[in-house]
Amino acid sequence: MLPVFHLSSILLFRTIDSSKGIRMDRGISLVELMISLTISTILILTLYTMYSLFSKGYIDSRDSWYCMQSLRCALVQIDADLRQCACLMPQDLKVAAMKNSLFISGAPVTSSYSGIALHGKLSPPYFSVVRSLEGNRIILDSVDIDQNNVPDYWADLGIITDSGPYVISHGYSRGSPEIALTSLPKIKVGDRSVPSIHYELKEDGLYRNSSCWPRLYGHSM
Amino acid sequence: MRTNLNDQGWALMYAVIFCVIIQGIALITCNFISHNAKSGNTFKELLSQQHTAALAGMKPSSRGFLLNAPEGWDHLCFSTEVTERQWGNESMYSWRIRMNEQPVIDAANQRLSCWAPSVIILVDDSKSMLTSGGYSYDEGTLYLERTGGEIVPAGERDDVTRTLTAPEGTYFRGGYGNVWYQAHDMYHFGGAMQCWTSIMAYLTNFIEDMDMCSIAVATVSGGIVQPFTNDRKALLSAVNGIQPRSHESRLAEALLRIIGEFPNTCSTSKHIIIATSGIAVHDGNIPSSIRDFDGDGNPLDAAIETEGSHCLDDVAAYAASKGVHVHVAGPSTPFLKRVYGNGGGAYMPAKSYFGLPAPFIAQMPSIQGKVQRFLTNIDLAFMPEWAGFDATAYNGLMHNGTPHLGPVPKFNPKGTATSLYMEGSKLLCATSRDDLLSFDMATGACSWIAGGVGGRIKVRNGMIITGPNIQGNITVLSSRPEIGWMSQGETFTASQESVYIARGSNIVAYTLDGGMFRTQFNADSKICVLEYDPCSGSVLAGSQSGLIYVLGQDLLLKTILTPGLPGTLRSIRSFSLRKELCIAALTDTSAVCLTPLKTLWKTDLDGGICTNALVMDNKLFITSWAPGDCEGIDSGSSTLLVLDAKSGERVSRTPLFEAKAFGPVLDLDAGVLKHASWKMDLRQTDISTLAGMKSTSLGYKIKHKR
Repeated sequence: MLPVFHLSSILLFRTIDSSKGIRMDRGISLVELMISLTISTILILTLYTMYSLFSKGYIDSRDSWYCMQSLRCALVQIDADLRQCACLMPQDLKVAAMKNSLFISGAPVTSSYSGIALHGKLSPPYFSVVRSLEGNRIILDSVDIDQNNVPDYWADLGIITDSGPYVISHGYSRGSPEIALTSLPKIKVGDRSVPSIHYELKEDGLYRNSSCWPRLYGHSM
Repeated sequence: MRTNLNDQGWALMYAVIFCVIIQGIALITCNFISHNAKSGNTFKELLSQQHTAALAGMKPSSRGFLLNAPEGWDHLCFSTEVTERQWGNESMYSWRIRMNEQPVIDAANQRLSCWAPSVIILVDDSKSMLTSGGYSYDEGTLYLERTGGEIVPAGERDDVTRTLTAPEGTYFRGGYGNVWYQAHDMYHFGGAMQCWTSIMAYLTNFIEDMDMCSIAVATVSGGIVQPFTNDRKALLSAVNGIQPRSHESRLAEALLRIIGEFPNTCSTSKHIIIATSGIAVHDGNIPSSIRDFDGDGNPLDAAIETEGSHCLDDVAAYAASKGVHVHVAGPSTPFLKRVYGNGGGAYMPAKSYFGLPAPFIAQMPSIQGKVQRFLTNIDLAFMPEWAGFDATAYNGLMHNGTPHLGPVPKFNPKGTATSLYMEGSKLLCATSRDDLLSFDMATGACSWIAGGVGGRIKVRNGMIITGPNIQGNITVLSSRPEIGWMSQGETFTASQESVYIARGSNIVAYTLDGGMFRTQFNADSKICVLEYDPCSGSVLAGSQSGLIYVLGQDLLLKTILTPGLPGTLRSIRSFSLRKELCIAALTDTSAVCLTPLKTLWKTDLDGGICTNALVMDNKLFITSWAPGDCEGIDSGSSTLLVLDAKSGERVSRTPLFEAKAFGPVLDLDAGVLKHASWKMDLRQTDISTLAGMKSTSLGYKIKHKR
C-alpha cells in the first residue's frame, strides 16, 4: 500500500472515533497535521494542475479545431467565390485588391438569393452604370443588374467599378439606387459597377462582407 | 470493525473517483463528438455547394439562349448566343456572336463603265400609229383598249377570259382581239394589232431588259420627254404617257434634232430606236446637205407637206456618220429596213444586240456554312448558273381585285439581283425588275418566282416583306407565296409584330399579319432611312432635313437627334455603349456617332461614298467607294475603313478593289468578312480576334442547395 492510504486511514479513523464520542487514544500532533496538510495541498494542487492541463488542452484542441475548420471553410468559400467570380458580369471587372482587402465580383448566393441570373432577352455581361456622385454616395442606373426584379447590391457587400473597389456602408437600404460607400469614392460618372464579395484581413481575423469568419462559424455551431 | 469501516470508506471513495473520471471523459468525448459532428456538417454543407460533378467526369446538359445583341455590336445584324452547360448544381456560361441578318443594302447603282450604251427611244406619236402594223395579238396575252382608242399590253389579271370592261378601258385576250379588235389596215401592213400596240410591247420589254443602260424617251412631236436615266419607273411612265394624237409625223426632223442629245462622256455606244409606222407626215424640213445624205437620189428625199417624205433614211445615214446607231421598231417595210440599214442599226434590237457584258454581280454573295452563292447576272438578268428551275412555281402579281398572286406561264427573271435575304436555308432574291425568287440555299433549287413584288426584302415571323416595287407598293406575303396585304410606301422596316412604312414625311405602323393600321407619326420632312432596333424596341427614322427621330414601337416620340451632317442620310446603325443607345449615322461622305444626350464624334470618309456600314465589337466598319468619272460599279476604288465606335479614331484603312465593293458579308464560322467585286473577286478581312467571334466564358455559377 502506498503511504498516503495509511495516513488517510489514520485521519479517517480518528474522525470517526471523535464523532461517536469514543475516547481518543491520542491527538494529532503538529507534525502529523503539517504533514497531512502538506500532503492534501499537494494532492489538491496536483488535481488542479491536472484539471487545468486537461481544460487547457481541451480548449486548445477545440480552438484548433475551430481554426482549422474556419480555414477549411474559408478556403472552400474563397474557392467557391473565385470560381463564380464575374459570372454573367464583365470579365474585366473580376477581382480587385485594396490594402488588405480582396474584392471578388459576384453576389453571395444564399437560400433567399439565387445570384445573378440569365435574363430572357438582355445579353450579358450585366452591370450597373454610375449616373451621378455626391460625397460618398453614388447613384446607379439600376441596382438590379440582371433585371430580374431582385436587387443585387446590399449593405456590407463590396462593389467593383472601373475606377476601383469600394465597400457598401452598413446602413444601405437594399433596393435604393443611391448607395452610400464606406470611403470617399474616386468613381467617374459613366463607370461600370458590379457587386462583389469582399474579404478583409483585420487583426482579429478574416472578414467576409464585414462579418468575422471564425466568429461567424462559431456562432453557426 | 475498524477494518470494515475503513474498507467501506475506500470503496465509496473509489466509486466516486471512478465516476468523476468516467463522467469527465464522457463529457470531453461528447463535446468533441458534438463539435466534430457540427463542424463536419457545416463543412459538408459548404462542400456540397462546390462543384464536384465535372471532376467526376459527369456529362453536362447543355441549353442555348438567343438574346439581344451584345454591347458594341450592331443591334440589327447580331444577337448573342449564350450556352449554359450544367453539371449537377453548377452551371457554366459562355457566349458568342450570332448573325441575325447580313447588312444588306439595296444595290441602287448598277451601271458598268465598260458597258454603257446610251439609247434614245424616239416614239412616233402620230395617229398613223393606230393603224395595223403587220402583227397579230399574242393569243394568251392581255391587252387594254384605252378610251382614246390606242391598245396597249396590260398587266396580268385573272378575271378576264375574253373581254372585260373597266373604267380605264376594255381588257381583252389576244385571241379574242385577233377577231374583234382588228386595227384598220390603212397601209396594207397586215395583222390585227395596232402598230402602237406592238411598239409599246417591244419598248416595255426593251426598257425592262436594258435597265443598266441610260435611256431617254422622246416623241416625234415633242422632242425629249424623259432625259437620260436608269430609272425604270420614270422611263415606263414616260412611254406610257405618250398618246398617238398628233396629226403630223416629222420623223426625219425629230431624228435629226435628237442626234445631238447624247451625253458627251460615259457612253460606250450611242443608239436611237425609232418606234414608228414609217409614215412621215409633213416631214423633210432638214438641211439640204442631209436630205439625200445616202445619195440614193430618191425623189421623196424632200420636204413634203402630206405623207411620203423619205428623208428618214438619209438622216439615219447622217446619224451613223456621227457614230449614232439608228434602229427601228415598227412594221417591217422596205423603207424602214433602209432606215436601220443606213443607220447601222437593227430591226427591233434585243438586248443581245448591244454586246452584253460578261457575267457580273451587283450585290454581295450569300453564305451559309460552307455554301457560298454569287448572285450572278448573265446577259443583264439574274440567272445564276447554280440555280435550278426544274420545279419552280411561277406566279405573277394580278392587277384585279385585292392584290394577289396567280399562276403564270414560265418566264425568265428579268433584271439584275438587287436585294437578298437569308432565312434559314432559304435564300430570297429580288431583281431590279421586281421578280422575287426563293431558293434552297443548299441545292440552289428555285421553289418559286413571284413576278411584280420586288424591292428590299425582310423576313419577320415567317412573313416576307418586300418593296417598294415599281408601283411603290410594299408587299407582305407568306412563304407559299401568298400576298397577305400591300401598302404604298417609299421605305419600310419591321419588327416581329409590326411593319413601319414611310411615305413622304409620314410613318405608319401596320400589324404584320393583317396589315391593320396601328398608329402613325409625322416627321418634319421626307423620311429617307427607316430602321427598327430590336434591342431597344425603337423605330429610327432619318429625315431629309438630317434629323433622326427615335420612336417607340407605338411611334411615340422618344427623342430627336441632330447629327448635323451635310447631305442626305443613307444609313443608320444602332448599338449600345454602357447600356446607352448609340446611333451611327452616315451620309454619302460623312459619319457621326451620337447618343440621345451628346454627339460622340463626327468624321468624313476621305472622299469616298459610304456603301455599307456595320458596328462590331465597338468598331464601325465602313465600306466606302470613290467612284470613277462615269460612276460604274467597275470603276473607282473601294476601301474598308474601321473606326473606333467610341472615339471615332481611325483603326485601319484597307484598300479593297479598283471598283465598287459589295459587302461586307459576314462568315462568322470562318471569322472573316468578305467583300466582292463586280467580277466576283473576293477580299477577306480577318475578324476572328473580335470579342465574341469564338465562344467566350461568362463564368460559373453554383446553385445554392436548400
